[in-house]
Amino acid sequence: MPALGKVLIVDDSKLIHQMYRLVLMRFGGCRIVDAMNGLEALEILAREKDFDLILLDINMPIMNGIQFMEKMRENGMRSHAPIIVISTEGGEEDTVRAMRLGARGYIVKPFKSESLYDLIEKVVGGKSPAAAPEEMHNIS
Amino acid sequence: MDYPELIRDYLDDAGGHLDMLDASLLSLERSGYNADIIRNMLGSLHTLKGNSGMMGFESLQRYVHTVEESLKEALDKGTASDDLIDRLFGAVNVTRKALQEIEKNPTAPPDLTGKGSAAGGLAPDGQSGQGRQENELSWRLRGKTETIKVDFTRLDDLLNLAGELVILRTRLNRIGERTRAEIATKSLRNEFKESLELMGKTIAGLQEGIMRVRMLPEGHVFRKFPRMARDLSKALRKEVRLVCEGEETEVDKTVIDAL
Repeated sequence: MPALGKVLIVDDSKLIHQMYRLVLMRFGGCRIVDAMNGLEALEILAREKDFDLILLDINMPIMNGIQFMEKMRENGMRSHAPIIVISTEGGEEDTVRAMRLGARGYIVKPFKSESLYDLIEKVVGGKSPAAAPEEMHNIS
Repeated sequence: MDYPELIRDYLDDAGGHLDMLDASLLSLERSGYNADIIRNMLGSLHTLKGNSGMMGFESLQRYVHTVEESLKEALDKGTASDDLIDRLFGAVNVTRKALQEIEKNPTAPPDLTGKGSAAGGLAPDGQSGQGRQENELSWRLRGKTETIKVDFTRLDDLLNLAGELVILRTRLNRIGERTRAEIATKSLRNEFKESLELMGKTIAGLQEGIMRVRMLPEGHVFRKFPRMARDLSKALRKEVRLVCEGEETEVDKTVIDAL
C-alpha cells in the first residue's frame, strides 16, 4: 500500500468530499485539503506544493476540472502530484482532454469505493495508470 | 448501498437541493424565464444525481437525470412553459417521496423506472396534473429542518444534565440558608453565600446556553409555505398572496420539527 502524505480533493459536493475521505482513510493518516472548485484549488496550489495526489472532479461551477488543468499549464504551475479526474457518463471528451493535459488516471461516476481505492493504489504506487477507452484515442 | 455511514448527510444534502429547486421554480413561475436561475437549478440537479449514484440509488439517479435533461432542453430553447414548471414541481415531489422511502429503509430504495420524461411527464404514473397536489401537501409539511451537526441526543443529554444541576442548585440553596446561620465567621458566611449565588448564575447560564444551541430560526418552517401556497392556489384556482414575518425568531428544534 503506497503512503499518502497529503491529498487535495477538488469537488463541488461536500458529500463527495466525505466519501473520498472514507476511501483515503484506508491509506493511513494522510492530510486532506478540500477545494470546492478549480479556482479554489489553484489558490491552494499557489500556497502549498507538497501534495501526493489530486482528486479532481470535471463538472464544477466557477472553474471546472478542465479549466483548472489548462490554467495550471498556462501559469506554468507544475504539480508533482498525480491527478485523478472524476468524470461522469457522457463526459468522454472531457476525460480525453484531461488525460492529454496530464491526468494520470480517471474514473467515471458512479463508482464503488473499492474501484477508487484500487485506482489510487495504482496511480500513486507508480503502476500503469488507467488508459483512456479505445474510442477516446481518436478524438483530437 | 455504498457509504452507509453517510446516509444522513446524503438525505440532508438532497433535501437542501430540493428546497433550492422549489424556491427557484416559484421564482420562475412568478418572474418568467431566467437562464441564471435555470443554470443554478441544473447545478443542484447534477450534484443530486451524482450523489445519488455514488450512494448506490441508481433508479433515483436515472430519474434525476431525466429531470435534468428536461431542464437543459428549456435552457436550450430559452423558454420555460407553465406546463414544464408544473411537471418540475411534480418531479421535486416525486424525489422528496423517494428520499422519505430511502430514509425509512436505505437498503430498499424505491424503483422510479418509467417515471421519467420518456412519456412526456415527470410525475409518477396516475398522479399527473393538479390532482396529485392535495396528497402531496401533507407529506411536504412533515419535512425535517436543517440538521444541527451534532448528534441531537447528545444535546438532549446535556440539557437533561443541566436540568439536574438546576434541581441540585435549589437543594443546595435551601441547605445553604440553614447552614449559613451556623457559620460563626461573618466573612466565611458571606463567601459561602456569594459562592452559592455565583454557582446559581453559572448553572442558569449553562442551561440557557445549551437551549440556545438547540434553537433554529422559525424561517425553517416558513420556507415550506410558499410552495404549499402555490400548490393550493393552483388546485383551488384562487389567487393566493403569502406574507411571512418574524422568520428570524428562534425556537427549539424539537418544536420546529413538530411544526
